[in-house]
Amino acid sequence: MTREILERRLHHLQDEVLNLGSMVEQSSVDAVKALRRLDVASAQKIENRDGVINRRRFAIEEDCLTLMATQQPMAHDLRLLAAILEVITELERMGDYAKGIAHITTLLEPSPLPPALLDHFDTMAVQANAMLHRALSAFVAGDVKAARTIPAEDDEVDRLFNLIYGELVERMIADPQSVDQTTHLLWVSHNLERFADRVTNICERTIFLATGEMTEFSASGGD
Amino acid sequence: MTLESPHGHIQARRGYARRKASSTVMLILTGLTTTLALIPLFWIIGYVVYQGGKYIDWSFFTQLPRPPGVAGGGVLNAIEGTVLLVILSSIFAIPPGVLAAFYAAYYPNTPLGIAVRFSTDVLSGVPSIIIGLFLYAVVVKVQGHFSALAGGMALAILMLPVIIRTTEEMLKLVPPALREASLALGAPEWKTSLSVVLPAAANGLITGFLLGLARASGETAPLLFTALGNEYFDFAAQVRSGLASGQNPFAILAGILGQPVDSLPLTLWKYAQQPYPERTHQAWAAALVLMALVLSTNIAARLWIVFRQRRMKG
Amino acid sequence: MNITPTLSQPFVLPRASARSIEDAVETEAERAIRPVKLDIRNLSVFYGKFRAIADINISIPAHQVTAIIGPSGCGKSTLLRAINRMTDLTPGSHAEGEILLDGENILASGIDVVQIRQRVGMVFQRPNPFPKSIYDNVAYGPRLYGIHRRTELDEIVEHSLQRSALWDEVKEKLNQSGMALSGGQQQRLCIARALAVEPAVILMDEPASALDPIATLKIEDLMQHLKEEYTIVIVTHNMQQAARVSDYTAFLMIDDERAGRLVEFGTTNRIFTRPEKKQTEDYVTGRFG
Repeated sequence: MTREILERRLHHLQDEVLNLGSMVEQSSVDAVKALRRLDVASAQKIENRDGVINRRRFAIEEDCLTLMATQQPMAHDLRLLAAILEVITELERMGDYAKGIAHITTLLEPSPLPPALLDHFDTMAVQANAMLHRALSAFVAGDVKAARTIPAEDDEVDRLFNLIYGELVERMIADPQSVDQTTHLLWVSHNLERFADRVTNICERTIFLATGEMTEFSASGGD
Repeated sequence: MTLESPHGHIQARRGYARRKASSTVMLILTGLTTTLALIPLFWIIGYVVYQGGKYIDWSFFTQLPRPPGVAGGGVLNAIEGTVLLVILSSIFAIPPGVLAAFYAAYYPNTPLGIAVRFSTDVLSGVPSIIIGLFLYAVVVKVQGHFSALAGGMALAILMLPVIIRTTEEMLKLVPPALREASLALGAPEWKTSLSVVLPAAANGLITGFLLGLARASGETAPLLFTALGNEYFDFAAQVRSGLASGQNPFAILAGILGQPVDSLPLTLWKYAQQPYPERTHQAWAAALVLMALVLSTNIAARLWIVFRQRRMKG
Repeated sequence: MNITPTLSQPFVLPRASARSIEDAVETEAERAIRPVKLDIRNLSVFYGKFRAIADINISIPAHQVTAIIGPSGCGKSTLLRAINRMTDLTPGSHAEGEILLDGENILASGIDVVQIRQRVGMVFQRPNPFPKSIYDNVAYGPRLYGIHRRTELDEIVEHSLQRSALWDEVKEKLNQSGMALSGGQQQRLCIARALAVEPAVILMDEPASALDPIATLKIEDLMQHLKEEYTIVIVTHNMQQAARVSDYTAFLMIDDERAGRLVEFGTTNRIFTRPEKKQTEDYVTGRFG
């Protein structure tokens, strides 16, 4: 086996992608937690953390470009770099969704939120993060089978979104005073739903990486 | 000496001094032996120039020999004869030699190719006097008289191995890609050889021809049985008298080729044995002329090659 | 002059009528319908008893650059040289199978090799101008085919040098030796020399391997222009070069009997981004051997 340098640096890049992924994961989990407690201080911390995520993403992008320029990657190596560029963009956007949720927390008035709704948010966040976690593992492993099955799990997230959407609309009708708050909460659910959608894109990249095939999973709702 | 030794670097330095000393000694030795090898060359040149130079004057180049014991006269016959023999032998040796070399270079592993190379080696080892004897038997004996033609043929056979060998080497030096480029354009082999390979090898070939010529023009032995020698040979006079008697040019040429001729080495060899001091002096002078002739053709050819290369490089 | 005009087969784009964003991308299927210039079928070349290449099947499309890549000794050059019968020059060699040039089998026994070499030109690894003037280098081929009129030769020389992008650099010194040019110029002179006999196909055997990077890029640019008029087949050791210049790529490797075999042939695009065979993948990613 030749090309040790390229290989080592590709592995390093994959590790960096996983790191970026866990930062995004952490942000989204923390954002939902801060929302439940209406904890403005930690919400602000999460917002600031997004800058770190963005910088990390740019660092990875630069490494990819350097490798392309200096190592002339071909075939699988080239697809891996192209896929990483794509995946980190998705992760960065997902980080933005988490930041958005944290921001909403700072905007809400300190009146308690309906606990059932918060439970739904938790479920959505847990489900989306589970998807992200496995999607990234599949990406690093080049596991096509997993990459093909994970997007189906998005249906559960979509179901929850629709449920929350219905509940929030009902709430707005019942209590016009709460429109401001409810609209914000609608955004939270929207962000969580989009967060999960983007996991699907990561799975598409995994399939491209492993097979060279460009597929698109029909985005079920939400788009 | 180990790397761990604290004195390693000192020991290394001692070894270095010894190596440097032996290098210097060897350098001096090679310089000395080179000088030693060059001494005979310059000695010969110097001695011939010293001895021959004393007796050279204009008439030496323009007059025929006087009878033995009579002072004056020249070796015009031998100079003309040498040139004639060299031209003849070139005509006989170069075309077949070059063709044979092409064959040996391009078909080295065919039976004929192997035969060419083997017989070339054998031929270059045959003593020149035997070649003279051979031509005496097959040409002089058959024709009934000595002739320039027989002399030219003898010298041609002597030149042949040199020409074949050097030409073959030169052809091998021509990049195969050059030949392929021509063939890839659809050119036939003969055309490729003639208009691409030969010009590309020209410099080397000319050097080869000159080596052959130098060898031939210095030969005495084969001429003893073939060209014999001719103290009355005068090219211009022959042409004049031939034209006066109404002969056509070919007949004149045939007449010249059919008679014995002299050559410088032959003259040198004969004069040096004669008891007359004038002849001995002229032998030294002839030696000088012969040497100058060979050297100057060599130098001229080398200059020409340099000039040609310069033009090639633009 | 016995020079067959190149019949440019009309090629109608299927997308000519309907133009939409999807149609702007040429698909593999569309590429597949390009007219074939050289159809190599079951080609094997032997040197004595040794089989250098075995059962090669490639359809080389017209007006495209096709690269032949593969590790040293895989028979790339043998394959290339079979296309204008340069393999004949090696004593004891023979070829089996067919190479159809515009449908005519150039390996057939009755075929005139001279005529094949006129239609299929060749450019070699090292620039190899003849030890003649620039003019005579280019005019060498046309003269072989009986063109001796000065005005006609002048025209061919100028035209060929223009097509090889050398004219402007040498038009003032056509009588200087071709050997006096720089390496890159010499190689373009050799290309002009090949173009002067109006070939339809140009074979290039690692044409830039002896050149510096700038001269290399010039040759590569030139190939892109030349493919409009000619079909180009290039052998290269340099994978990046194959990726840069070619439209199609054939990957060869030696089998257990040391015979070169075709592993994969396809659009360069595909070979370098998603090859089908593991061996191709290993080779193009530099993990060969």
